[in-house]
Amino acid sequence: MRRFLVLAAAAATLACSLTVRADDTLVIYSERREPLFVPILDAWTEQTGVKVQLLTDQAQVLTERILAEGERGRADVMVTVDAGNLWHATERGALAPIQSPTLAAIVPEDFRDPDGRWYAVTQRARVIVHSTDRVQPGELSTYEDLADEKWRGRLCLRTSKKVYNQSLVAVLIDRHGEQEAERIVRGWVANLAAPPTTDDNAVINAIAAGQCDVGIVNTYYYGRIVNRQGEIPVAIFYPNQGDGEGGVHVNVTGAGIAAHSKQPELAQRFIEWMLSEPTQRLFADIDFEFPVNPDVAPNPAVAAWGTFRPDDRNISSAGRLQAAAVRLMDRAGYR
Amino acid sequence: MVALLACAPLLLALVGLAGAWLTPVEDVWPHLLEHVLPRATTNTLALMAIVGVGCTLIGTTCAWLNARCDYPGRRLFDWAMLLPLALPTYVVAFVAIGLFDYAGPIQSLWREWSGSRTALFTPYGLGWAAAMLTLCFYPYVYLTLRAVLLRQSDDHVAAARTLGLSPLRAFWRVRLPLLRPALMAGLGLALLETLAEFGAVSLFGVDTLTTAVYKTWFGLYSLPAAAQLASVGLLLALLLLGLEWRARSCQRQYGGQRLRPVRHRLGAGLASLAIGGQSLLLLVAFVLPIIQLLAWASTGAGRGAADLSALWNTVKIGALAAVLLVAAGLLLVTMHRHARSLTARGLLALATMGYGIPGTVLAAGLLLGVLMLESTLAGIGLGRVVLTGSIAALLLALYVRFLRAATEPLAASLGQMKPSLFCAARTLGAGRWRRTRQLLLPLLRPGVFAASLLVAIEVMKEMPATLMMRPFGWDTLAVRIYAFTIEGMWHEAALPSLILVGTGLVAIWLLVRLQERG
Repeated sequence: MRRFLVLAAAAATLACSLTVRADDTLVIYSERREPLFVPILDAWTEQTGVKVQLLTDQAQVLTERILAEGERGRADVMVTVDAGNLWHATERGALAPIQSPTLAAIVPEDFRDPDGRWYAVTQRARVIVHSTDRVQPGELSTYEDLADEKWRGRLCLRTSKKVYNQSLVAVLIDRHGEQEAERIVRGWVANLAAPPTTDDNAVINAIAAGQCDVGIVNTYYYGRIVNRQGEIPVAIFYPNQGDGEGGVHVNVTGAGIAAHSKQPELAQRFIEWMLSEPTQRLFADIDFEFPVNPDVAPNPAVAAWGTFRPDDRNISSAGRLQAAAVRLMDRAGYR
Repeated sequence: MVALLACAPLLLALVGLAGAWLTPVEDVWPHLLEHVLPRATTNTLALMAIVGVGCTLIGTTCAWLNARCDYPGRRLFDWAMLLPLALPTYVVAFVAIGLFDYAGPIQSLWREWSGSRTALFTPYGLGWAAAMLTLCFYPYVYLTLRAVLLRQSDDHVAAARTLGLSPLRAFWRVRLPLLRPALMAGLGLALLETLAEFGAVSLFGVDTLTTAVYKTWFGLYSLPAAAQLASVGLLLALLLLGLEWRARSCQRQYGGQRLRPVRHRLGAGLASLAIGGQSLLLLVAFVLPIIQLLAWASTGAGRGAADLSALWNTVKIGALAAVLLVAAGLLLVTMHRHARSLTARGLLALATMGYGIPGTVLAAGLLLGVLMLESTLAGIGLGRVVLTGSIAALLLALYVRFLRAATEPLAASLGQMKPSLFCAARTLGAGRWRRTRQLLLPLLRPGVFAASLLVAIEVMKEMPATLMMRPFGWDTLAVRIYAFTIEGMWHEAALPSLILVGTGLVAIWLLVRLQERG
C-alpha cells in the first residue's frame, strides 16, 4: 500500500512537471477575502507545485483592470463573490467561455453561466434569523412576510449597499415584478427597529441583545459567531419553503477564466481542482459555506442547521436585475 | 514646465476618468439626481461644516493652551494631543460602533443595571460620523496652529493694545487675522480629508458624495457615471481650495525675533478646566479606542494576519513616500514662491488637489490612465514599460493623493522666512546654490521633518489606493485590516490595527522630539 502511494505521488509529480513548466505561475484576480482564500491556494501550490500570485480588490475594479490591460494582461483566473459581479464581468467581456465536461458534470446548471463563462465554487444561503426567546419559528414564513405589520419595530437589516441585499432584492423583482418588490422593501424599511447596520454580525448581535427580533443574514456569519461565543438565543430559519414561494435565496462565489489569459488550460485545471471533492471539503470547512459539488456534504456544524430547498431560478438572473434593485432600494428609502 | 510635470500624475488620473465623460450614461443620472445626489450633497456639506467648526474650536483651544499658556501637565498634553493622529478613521469608526452599539458593552451594562430594553443611543448617522471625524482630524489644526503660535511674536497685539484696543477686540482684529493662514492650512487638510472620507462614513451609514460614487460604480455598475459624480466632489474640493487661497492671499508674515512670546500662567480654575477638558478629549479620542482594541486583540483572533512582512511593507512605503513627496514638495514650494505667472501658480496649486479625491476614484483613474499610457508606448514601439503592479505605480498614486500633506508644513515654514534674509545673502555675494544649501535648507529643517512624518503617517494609514496599486501579494497593515473590517470581523482586525497605531505613534514621537529640538 505504502509503495503504491509513493509511486502514485511520484507519478503525479512527474505528470505535473511534464504539463507545467516549473516557472509557471497562476495569476488570480479575486474579490474573495484573503483569509478565506489563501489556505485554499496554499493547498493548490502544495499539491501541484504551481505557484500563485493573488491580487485582491473589488470585483468591478478587477473587471475594469482585466479589460484595460487587454492583451498585455497577466490575469488567468477571476474569482469573485456574488452573482451580480459575475454577471457584470461577463457582460463587460472580461471572462472567456470554458468547455469542460468535468465542470458541466459537477456544477448544477443553476450555479453556472449558461455560456460557461463562470462556475460557482461555493454557495452561501441568505436566511432569516430570529430570537429564540421572542419569536416562534411558526410565526415566520417568507422574506416577503417580513414586510408585514406584525414585525413593526422588530426587524434588523444590513445596509442596502451590501451586494448580498442587492441580489436578494433582485430576486424579489424577478419573482414579483418591480412594483410589488418595492412594496415589500418599503414594508421592511417601515418595520426596522434600528438604522441598517454595516454588517451581518451586527444584525445577529442586535437580535441576541434584544434590540430586534428578526433579521436577514448569510448563514456563515451565524456560524462564526456561534463558533466564537457558543450558544446564543438566536436561530436560523430557512424561509420560502412552501409551494410556489421559490426557495431560500442562495448566492455564490464563482470563478472564470480571464479573457486574455495566456494559459487557459492551467486556469481551467485550477477551477476544476477547486470543484474537486477534496478542495470542496476544504471550502466547506473553512467558513461554514455550502459546497457546490453535490457529492460533498457541508460541515457538520452547518448540517446541524437542517436542510433547505434553494431558489430554483438560475443564479445569474439576480445579477441581471441587480442595478434595478439598487435603484429600487434608493427609491424605497432603504439606506 | 516643472509645474506641468508636477501635475502630470494627477492629470493622468483625470484623463483616465475623462474617458468616462465620452460614454453617455443618461439612464443613471435622472435616478442619481432625484434619489441620491440631493441627500449626498447635503450630508457632505453638513459633515464638512460640523467637522470644520469642531476642528477649529478644539484645535485652536488646545494649541493656544499648550503653546501660549502654562499649567501643570502642559508638557504632557503638548504632545499627547497629537496622539489621535495615529488612529485611522476607519478603525475609530468600527471601535466606536462596537463600543456604543446596542449590543456593545456600554449599553449591555446599562440594560443589566436598569432592566430596560430601550436603546440609550444608536451610534449611526451624521452626528456620530461628524463627532468621530472631528476627533480624528482636529490634530491637523492643532499641529499647524501650534507651530505658528510657538514662534509668532506678540508685537502686533501689544501694539494694538497700546493703541487702545480691548483684549477681546485685539484678539479679533489682530490676532485672528495673523493666525488665519495657519488655521486655513490645517482646516483645509481636515476638510479635504472629510470630503474624501469613505471607510468611517460608510460604517456610520451616512450617504455622502464619496459613498455615492462607490455605490454608482459597484452597485449600479456604471464607472462612467461614478467618474462624473466624482467630478462633483472635485468641484467642491476646488471651491475649498479657492476659498483657502483667498483667505491666505495678500498676506506675508514673518516670525518676529525680538520678543519671545510670553506664556500666560493659568489660575487654578482655568488650569483644572484645561487639564480636565483635554483629558476627556484624549480619553474618548484615544484611550477608549485603544482599550477596546486591546480587549478584542486579547481574544487571540487575527494573529495570523499580523506578521512582520505586512509591518515591514507598511514602514517601507511610509518612508519611501515621505522621501519622495517631501523632495517633490520642497521643489514645488520654493518654485511657488518665485513663480510669477498665474498659470504656473495655478498648476502648482492643482498638483495638491488629490487630497480631496476619494482614494479609490483617484487610484482607478490613475490605473486606467497608466494602462492607457503603457499601451500607447507599446503601440509606438517604445518597448514594454510595465508600471502597473509595481511599487512605482503605488508611489505615483500616493504622490497624487498626499502631496498636500507635504507642501502644507513646508509652505508654512517657508512663509516664516523674511525675503530680506535672502537679499542680504545675495548682496554678500552668495550664489543661488549656496543660498539654498546654507540658508534655505537649514531654516526649512523643522518643516521638512514635520512634512516627512505627516506624509509617513498618512501613507501608512491609507487603504483604497494602496489596495488597488500595490504589487501582487504585497500587503500592508491597512490592507490586512480592510480584509477583516469589510466582513465585520472586528476581533480579527484589532491586532493589525494596534500594530498600525503603534507604528504611527513612533512617527508622532519622532515628530514631537524633532519639533522640540528645532
